[in-house]
Amino acid sequence: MDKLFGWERFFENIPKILPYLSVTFQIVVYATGFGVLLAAFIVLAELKKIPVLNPFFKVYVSFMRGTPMLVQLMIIYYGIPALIDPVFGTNINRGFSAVTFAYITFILNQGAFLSAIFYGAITSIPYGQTEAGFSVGLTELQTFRRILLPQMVRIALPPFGSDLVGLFQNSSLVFLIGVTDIMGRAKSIGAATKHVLEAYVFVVIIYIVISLTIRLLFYYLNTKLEYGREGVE
Amino acid sequence: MNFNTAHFYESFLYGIKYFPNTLRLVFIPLAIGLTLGTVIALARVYKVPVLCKLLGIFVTVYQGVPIVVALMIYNLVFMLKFNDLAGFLHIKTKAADVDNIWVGIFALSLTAVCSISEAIRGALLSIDKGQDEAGYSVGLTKVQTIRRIIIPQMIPAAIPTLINHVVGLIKASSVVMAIGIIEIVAGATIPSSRTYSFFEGYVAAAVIYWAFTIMIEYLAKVLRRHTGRFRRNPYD
Amino acid sequence: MMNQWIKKIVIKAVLTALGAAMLTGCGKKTAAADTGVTKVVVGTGNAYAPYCYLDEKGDLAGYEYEVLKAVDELLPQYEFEYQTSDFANVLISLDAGKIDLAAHQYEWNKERDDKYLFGKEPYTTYVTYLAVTGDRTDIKSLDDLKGRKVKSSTGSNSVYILENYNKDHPDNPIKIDYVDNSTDEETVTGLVNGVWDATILTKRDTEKLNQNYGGGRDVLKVTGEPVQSSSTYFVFAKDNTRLQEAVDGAVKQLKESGKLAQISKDVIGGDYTESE
Repeated sequence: MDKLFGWERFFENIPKILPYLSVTFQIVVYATGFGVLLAAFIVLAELKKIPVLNPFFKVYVSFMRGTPMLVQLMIIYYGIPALIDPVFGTNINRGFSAVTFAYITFILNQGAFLSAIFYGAITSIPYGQTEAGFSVGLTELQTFRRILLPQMVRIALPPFGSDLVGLFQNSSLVFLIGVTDIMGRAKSIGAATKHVLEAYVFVVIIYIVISLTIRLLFYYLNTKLEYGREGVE
Repeated sequence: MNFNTAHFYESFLYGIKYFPNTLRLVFIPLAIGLTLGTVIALARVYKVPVLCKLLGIFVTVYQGVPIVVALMIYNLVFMLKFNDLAGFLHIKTKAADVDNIWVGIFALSLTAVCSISEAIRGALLSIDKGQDEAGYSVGLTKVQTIRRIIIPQMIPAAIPTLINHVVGLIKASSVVMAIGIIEIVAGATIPSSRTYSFFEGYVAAAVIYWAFTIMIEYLAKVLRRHTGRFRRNPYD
Repeated sequence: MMNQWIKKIVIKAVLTALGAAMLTGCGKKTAAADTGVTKVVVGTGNAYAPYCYLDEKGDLAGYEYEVLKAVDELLPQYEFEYQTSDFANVLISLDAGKIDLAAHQYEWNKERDDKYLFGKEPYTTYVTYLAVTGDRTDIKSLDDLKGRKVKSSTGSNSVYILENYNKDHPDNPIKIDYVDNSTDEETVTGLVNGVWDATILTKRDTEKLNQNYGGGRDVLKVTGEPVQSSSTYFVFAKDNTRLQEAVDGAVKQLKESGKLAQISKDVIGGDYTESE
């Protein structure tokens, strides 16, 4: 058999794989952006104990946290259209592309995970802080924005960072429903060029670089916020 | 698409049948992760020279590797190089005799070691330095202090993060189906390759996982109450 | 107040997201409707060279694609659009109504026939054998595989054959390894290193693997009598006889004009449309 790992093959693969990084980033950006909004909505329903929604979200978050991403991807790709199309007379089964379903899955998944992080952060702030805000005549919104949010961000930041690293890694599953991301591209190079190891190794390096960058970024943000805190004390 | 209850039920039974494999894929890495993870965390917190730097780099870098890709690479290397390695070590075992579930366990263990060591390190760092000093001041050695004072306090502090990692490990164990190990998802979709009811298979797998993780989280709650018994909170 | 503020933002965001998705979805459909051409979504795989795989540029290539392109040219009333996915997901997508036609060297078998509509016009022969490493002489038939490990993949016809064999011989069943979306490299490596004792392949796939990974040697060989002699067909949703008849007609035309044989020679490296 041929040599298992060849450097020239490794370098040939780089320009072939890199463009697909945009697919990975798109999934992560959509999932995080809309995931944060969904999570905020879920936390609101939980804090305000909105009937029907609150228990519904409890079950929903538990499901998203308790089942493998791979299974969620399959269930949403095939199941959501079967649920929605007959009711609304739409045809998202065909109308939405595979990548749209990948976005939906990751948004729904991130919404659940982030809601748990946000909920933990907001409930860890003593209620006295909210009361203090009200007592000086701030409205609910002002109290939230000026008193709770800054503290929440600091508490939620570290778990948010590790969640983001995990999200990048999980996005490699979308190949199964036919979306070609960097991992998928590595596999298809394996099929086309008969050598897959070099492509895998390059993909691993990309993921490591991404993860280190995120960690560094969050470390930097964290020290920034700590600094501000010391100033107040 | 119609949901076929009979196929769902068949898939469910098949998934349950391979549940023990998932248990092996979760609890062996968990045990390895707890042991090695604690050692790594201690080495890093107590700044063992050289080792602490090396382990720090390894853990940080390895946490960036998606388990799926790591698994693919290990599997390829295992299939290609295991016989050479065994020959080199004069072991009679051949790649053919080794159940490839061990490749999965290996990959999951490495991931578990890294994430668990981070959880334990965080818990160790949360313990006040004065505790060490208190130990030394009553004449305990370093090892005794760690064993009798630090670790008992570390355990309850580490439990919430650890439980998250256990749940993460349960879910991550499903990726090993990519190299042909049959666990819950692969098991639940075995009947599907005959009936083509894959959707039912995936739903069945989801139900099993869900029940399993809910159970683990419930146990965690009980455990937390139990280990937290001696921790007095003056504000309570 | 906070309540409404957040609600507003969330609702707006969700609406924009849905709107954007709807627009991209609808745009394609109206374009097709204007010309009176029906759009047909073809589902195929992405890792089975030379039948359906992504080429060096990442575009769909292979025999299935070339044949379907020729079929599309003969059918002005249809316009084919291609969607690739993992092998096991192609037939699920057909079942879920995401695609109209599945193409992945599908052999006829009874279970599949119960659920899907098979084309009547085969476009490749598919004679499968047990494939083992070049130096093995102990395996000649399925009976020799009792208690041994055989590589297969979920949803494939070889699984069907092996499971049926096991159903008839429950005492010492063949150990089936379900390895999904594996690469050719993994198949060869696993067989050479004894991870699996055998797998089920066609002669031409075995030759392809030897060519690509043998380094001049026959690392693999087919052995014994064919496990199954069949042909491959396009697969349709159960009630879609209109499309099936149209595609069958086009395949027949391609056969008569010699174009199908030509595609087979060009892409697979031999004429496998009528016989091995």
